[in-house]
Amino acid sequence: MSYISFKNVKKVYKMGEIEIEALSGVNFEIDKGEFVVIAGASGAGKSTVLNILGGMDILTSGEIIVDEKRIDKLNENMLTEYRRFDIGFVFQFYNLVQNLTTLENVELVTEICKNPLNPKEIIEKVGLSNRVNNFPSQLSGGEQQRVAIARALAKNPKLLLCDEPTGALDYNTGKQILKLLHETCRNYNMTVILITHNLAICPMADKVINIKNGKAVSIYKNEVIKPIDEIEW
Amino acid sequence: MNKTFFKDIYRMIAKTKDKFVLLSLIVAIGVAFFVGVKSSSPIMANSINYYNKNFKLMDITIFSPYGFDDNDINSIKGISGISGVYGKNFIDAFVGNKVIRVHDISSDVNNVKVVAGRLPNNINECVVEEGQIIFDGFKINDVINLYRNDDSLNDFLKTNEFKVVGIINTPYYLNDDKGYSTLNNRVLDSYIYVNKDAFINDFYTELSVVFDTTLYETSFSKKYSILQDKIKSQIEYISKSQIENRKDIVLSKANDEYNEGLKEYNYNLKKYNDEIFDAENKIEEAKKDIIDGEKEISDGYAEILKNKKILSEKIIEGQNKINEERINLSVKESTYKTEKNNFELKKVEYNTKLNDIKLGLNEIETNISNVNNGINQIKTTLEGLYNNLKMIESQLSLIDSSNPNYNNLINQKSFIENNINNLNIQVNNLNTNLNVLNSKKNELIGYQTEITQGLIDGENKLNHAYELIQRGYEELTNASVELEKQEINSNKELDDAKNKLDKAKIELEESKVKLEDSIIEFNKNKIDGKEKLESAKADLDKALQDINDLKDGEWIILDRSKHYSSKTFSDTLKQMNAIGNVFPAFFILVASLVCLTTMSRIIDEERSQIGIFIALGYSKKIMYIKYVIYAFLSTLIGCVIGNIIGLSLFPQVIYKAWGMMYIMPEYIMYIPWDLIILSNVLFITIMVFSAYYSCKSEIQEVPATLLRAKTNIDGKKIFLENIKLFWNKLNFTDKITLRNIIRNKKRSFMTIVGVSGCIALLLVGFGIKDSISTILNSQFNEINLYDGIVNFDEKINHTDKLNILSNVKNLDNVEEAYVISIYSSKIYKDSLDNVVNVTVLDDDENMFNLKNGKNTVYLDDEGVLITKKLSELMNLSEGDTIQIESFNGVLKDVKIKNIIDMNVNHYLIISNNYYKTIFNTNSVDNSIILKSKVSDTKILQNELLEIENVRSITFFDSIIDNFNSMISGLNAVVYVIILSSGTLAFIVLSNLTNINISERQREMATLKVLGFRKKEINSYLYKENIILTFFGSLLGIPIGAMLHKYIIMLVEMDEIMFGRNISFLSVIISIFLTMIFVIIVNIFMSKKVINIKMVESLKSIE
Repeated sequence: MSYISFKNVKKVYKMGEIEIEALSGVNFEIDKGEFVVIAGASGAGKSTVLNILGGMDILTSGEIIVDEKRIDKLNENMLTEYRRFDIGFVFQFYNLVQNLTTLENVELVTEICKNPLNPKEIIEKVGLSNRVNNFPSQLSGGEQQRVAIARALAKNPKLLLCDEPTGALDYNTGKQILKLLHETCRNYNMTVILITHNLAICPMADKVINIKNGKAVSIYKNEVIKPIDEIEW
Repeated sequence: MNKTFFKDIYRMIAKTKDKFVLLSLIVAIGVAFFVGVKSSSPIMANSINYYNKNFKLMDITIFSPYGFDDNDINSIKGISGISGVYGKNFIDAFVGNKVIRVHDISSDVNNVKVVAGRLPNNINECVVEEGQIIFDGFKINDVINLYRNDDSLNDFLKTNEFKVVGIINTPYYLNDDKGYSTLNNRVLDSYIYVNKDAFINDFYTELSVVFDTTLYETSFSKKYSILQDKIKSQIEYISKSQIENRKDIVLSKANDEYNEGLKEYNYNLKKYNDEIFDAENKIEEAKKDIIDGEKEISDGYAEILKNKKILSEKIIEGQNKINEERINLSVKESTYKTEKNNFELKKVEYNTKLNDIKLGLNEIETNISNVNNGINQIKTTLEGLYNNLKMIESQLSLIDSSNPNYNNLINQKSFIENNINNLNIQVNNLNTNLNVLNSKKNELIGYQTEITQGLIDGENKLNHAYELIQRGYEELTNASVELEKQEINSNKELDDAKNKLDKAKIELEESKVKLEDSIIEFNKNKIDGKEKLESAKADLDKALQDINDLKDGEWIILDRSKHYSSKTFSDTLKQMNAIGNVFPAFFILVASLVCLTTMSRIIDEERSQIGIFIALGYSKKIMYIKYVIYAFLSTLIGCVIGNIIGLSLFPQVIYKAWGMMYIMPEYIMYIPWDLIILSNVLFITIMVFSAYYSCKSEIQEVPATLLRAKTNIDGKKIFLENIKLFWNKLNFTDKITLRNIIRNKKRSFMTIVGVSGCIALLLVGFGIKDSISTILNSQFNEINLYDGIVNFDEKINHTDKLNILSNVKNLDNVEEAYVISIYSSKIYKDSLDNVVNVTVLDDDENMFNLKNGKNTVYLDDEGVLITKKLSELMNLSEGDTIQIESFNGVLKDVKIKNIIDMNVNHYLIISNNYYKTIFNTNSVDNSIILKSKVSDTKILQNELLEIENVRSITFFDSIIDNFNSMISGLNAVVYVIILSSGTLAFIVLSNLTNINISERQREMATLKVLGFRKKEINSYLYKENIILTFFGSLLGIPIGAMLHKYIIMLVEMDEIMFGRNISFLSVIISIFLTMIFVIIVNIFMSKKVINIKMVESLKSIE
């Protein structure tokens, strides 16, 4: 039994009379501690998969199992719990709380989790010790993203979901972030699922899931994991 | 909920400061208004209640035509719920031409509060009322002189002069209007309080009842009115037997007094008659005495004359005798001489005879000595008699003829004088004897002496004889002297007696005169006495008549609701409450509207934040809590501020305004916790609910949706574009503006509603002011064609009435005058009735400008006219039939012909002919309406009062003054409303504009980037505001008008109909003010627009 499995997951958006099928029946499985990249063109449905997996959206039909729990069957309250304790999410546009400092942004989650990591340590880990008391508006994009990662990590979640985390970052910073994520995956045995439309980084993943037109068209494992340092694009 | 979560909330509040503050402000105003206005009533009521309780205002006062005694007090004392029953005294009297009521001071009930000076120490001092609006009033150290036309003042008061030593106020008189006096239809101008002991009547004129204050909180509460009704009905029950008893007592007392009076009268009558009788007797006696006296005097005179005559006769007799004697003596002398001569001749011859003679001489000698003895004895007796005579004469000199002894003495005197005479005769006789003897002797001696011895003896004899003769002469002389003396004395005495009689006569004359005077006086007194007795009898008869005429009466039991001051006051409170209910409702509406829009805006901006939190695992519930806390905090702050402002501002202002109409007691701050809690909880609940509602839709969504940008409304064509002609004429910004307005329906709607609400409120505020102020003008200048009414005694005959009319017309200042009949009566329809002034007129008697709206109304003989307010109160309309009373109280049906406008009081106008048709008799003329030439009618009023048979006059100046002061209280409230409305309008507009700007920040920024000028961007927003405001006004004006009408009807007192229209000027002003607000807001807004940072706005994640 795999750690995460999607079974014929469909997602349909209704806007007035218009129906848009974002996911048309997605199937895949992911093992614990895997570093997974979900690749696909823009508008393919990658974010939808991540959102649903992360409890941020609700599927229309299908089954989702995470750590032997049926996520699709969870009601709202249980979903909240799921997001709270089991999921760490990193967004493309950071989505930090503007009113809180770096430290506070991380504390925001450590105060509600079961086994959080130490905020200050995590912040140090992401290299932002000197930015601890700055507000997001005072940080650069990369710094903000690192705060977001720190926030997600500090939760000590089961899954770390990242939606195009390097989308708004430059080449080097992006690489750093990816490195960090990979290390986290390996060091904490955390299942990391990363969305990107940059196919160049697929080699660094354990598994690559390709989404096209709302379906997982290909799923393959990398025999050889290429370290991020060696990846150029 | 955790620390960081709260940090976020605080930071959010800090970031959206302006919205937060605006929210608080709105709530603050709403709460301030609600709490402030609504608490004014309880505060006023509380202050009044405290005052009433403190100064023990009576709860029930009772009057009786027979007065009260302690028995009456005891009969009521026992009713449960009563803490005390007190007998009080009062009497109405004139001071100058003002009517005042004199009360007795007691600290048990209806106590007074000393404001200056002190309470009276004795019965000659008094205290007067504070604050006189009707006339200058009395000051400390003034002396007040009371009088009543029937002089009955002294039946009640020991003195009628009082010195003012202090100034007071009392809850018994709260209002300028002190009610009617017992003197003829006059209104009480003022009052004074004096010491209890100044009243001397032995009964009470008023009973004041005080309830047990532990049984109720305030006198405006339900508990109180239940208690009041219960006690009242018990008193009424008791009153029936009490008044019978009292009447009996009064009657029997009156009868006793009458009988006493009658007894005394009879006694006095008898006494009078007796005294008259005695006096008359005495007068008769006196008269008789005088006559007797006169007689005595005249007798006395007669007696004196008689005695004088006797005296003179006696004297003459005496003198004659003396003369005789003298002659005798002189004869004797000559004889002697002769004898001597003879002797001489015979000397020689007679010596021889001596011896014979000697013997014979001795015998003769002896005889001679006997005779001499005899003579001596007689002489002694004579002396004694003379002494007696002297004594008697001296006694006589001491008395007068009126003395009873007088006559005796006179008689004695006569007797003595007779004796004297007799004795004198005896003396003469003896002398004669002596002469004989002597002659014998002489003979002998002569014989002897004829001899030489005889000669010597004869010589001796001759000498002796000579001596005797000489003695005789001496004695005669003595006698003569004595007689003279006697004569003189007697004359003197008689003269004295005469003098005395003269004096007595004079005195008698004087007594006569005195008696005459006494008789005159007696007659006068007799007549006076008779008159007095007759007058006393007349009084007694009248008293008997009065006793027989004594009618049945009943106790007049008045509770505080009838107490004039209290009633007007509680009416006022009701009005205040009504206003306090309507306005806050409106404010609440507007406040929640603002809250909704503000919170929506905030939620919009917080959309992604919400998404983040939910994504991070915070529950939706917590997200609600976040925004509810926001709303709650701002509302809480608003409530606190509102409570403080409301309670410290409104009640004081309103209290002061009412202080112009009433003599208000101290303002007692009273925190109406129930109101505060109610209003605050209400506001908080509403705001919290609005917040909840605004974020509901967002929070329900899944985080993924929230994190995405909000779907914009699709671009679409608006309907106006179909009107090609119109659309093509507009420039670009206009087109966008219109599109924005129509597409952002929610926002446009909010703006329009907000603005219309504010305009409505402003209109109501101004409208109320209009309605109130116009009624004076409309009533007294347009509707009333006359300036005053003169009321006269209707019982006088027709000619006298015409006299009064001509007297009135002849006054310089009177322009027109008519005689009419006007009386206060009731009309009935089904189960409703109402008091009305029935006016019976003829066509040519122009009393009112009769109108119904714009139409002129005519009085004819087919129906009556009634006034509008009355028709509303009793649900009457044209053609209805109602029952009315004639002047004498006969009930008949009449038809309503038309309704007329009238602002003050209810009237029913009926023509003379129709009246006669209905009641078969003419109405009784009792008044004259007149139009004055001058506007200051004081002199005219005084002139009118002097016309005979005129009873009272009413001029509108004083009514207008009273009315003005009555509504000044409302005016204050109106200004407060206007101010609050203005503030509210301003806040709403700024809030909406603020939101507008925030919502369209990106738009603004883009325009800026594109190169739009400041002005152009401003006008972009500006135009939208103007158009929306315009539509808001259009909507708001009719809403305002309806609200205004509703409030006016709430606030009107029964007898008054306020103008129902808002003046055009007010509408203009309201719109104008709103425009001003819009402009001000736009100015501030443009500043904000300038400050939009282009880059950051465009950079935002959405």
